[in-house]
Amino acid sequence: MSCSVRDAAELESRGVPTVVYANDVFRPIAYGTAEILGFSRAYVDENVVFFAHPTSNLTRSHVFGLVDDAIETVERALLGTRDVVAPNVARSTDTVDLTEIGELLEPLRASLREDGATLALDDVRAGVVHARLEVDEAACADGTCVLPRRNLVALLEAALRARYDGMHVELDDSRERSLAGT
Amino acid sequence: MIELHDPRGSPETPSVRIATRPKSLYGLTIGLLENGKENADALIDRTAELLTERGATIVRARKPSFSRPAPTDVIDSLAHCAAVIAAHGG
Repeated sequence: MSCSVRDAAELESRGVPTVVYANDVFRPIAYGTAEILGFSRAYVDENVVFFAHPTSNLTRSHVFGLVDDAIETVERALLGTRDVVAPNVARSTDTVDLTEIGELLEPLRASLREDGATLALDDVRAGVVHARLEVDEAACADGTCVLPRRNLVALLEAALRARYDGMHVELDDSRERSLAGT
Repeated sequence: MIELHDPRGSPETPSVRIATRPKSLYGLTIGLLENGKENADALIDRTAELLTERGATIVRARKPSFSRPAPTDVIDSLAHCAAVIAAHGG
């Protein structure tokens, strides 16, 4: 998902209005990527058309039906006339549950696994999520196939803030431990 | 006096220019970019049909990898379009 938003940013910078189709589980990643790239969250609300996840197991005719239902929204997004109701889901960090955070971040964690890294969530207290990133040296010897630490933290925090007010992330990054040990 | 330089960079947030939106799709060339995930092609196929009915001309492109940004040649192939839809399947 982050790559699709990056593609949109590249095309927008070349003067090409771009709309992205994505599954709704990727909304937090879309927000996070947009913020890293310098877009506002409103860009996602206005230019990403979300479908209920998953779409991969649907029949072709079912997918066609999804597009039929969405095409007017798509057209308005392309023309910049979409009526946007931004989801208002941010809430206090007082009632945060680590399982819920895991579910929220699962699409991002899955992307990291594809790149050879594991993001473990250890704890959440006082509005801070404590996480560990383990990069598999066999799959990614120099660690560069995973986002740099600061970008990853920014992405995680932006994703979390789509649901929780003022959430922070403390990330223990195995790449930094490797550097410290050399 | 010792002058200490901190080698750490600071996160930079680039400013992004949002393209001007067209007033109508009729007669325009619309690019459709598929990322290769399951059913992204179906999303694009139906979108192409519906936008063609609305008077648009369609240009299609496909990313070689859904886990990487589109390479320059793919972006270049869409850069002349009046608008693009990028479909992320899954």
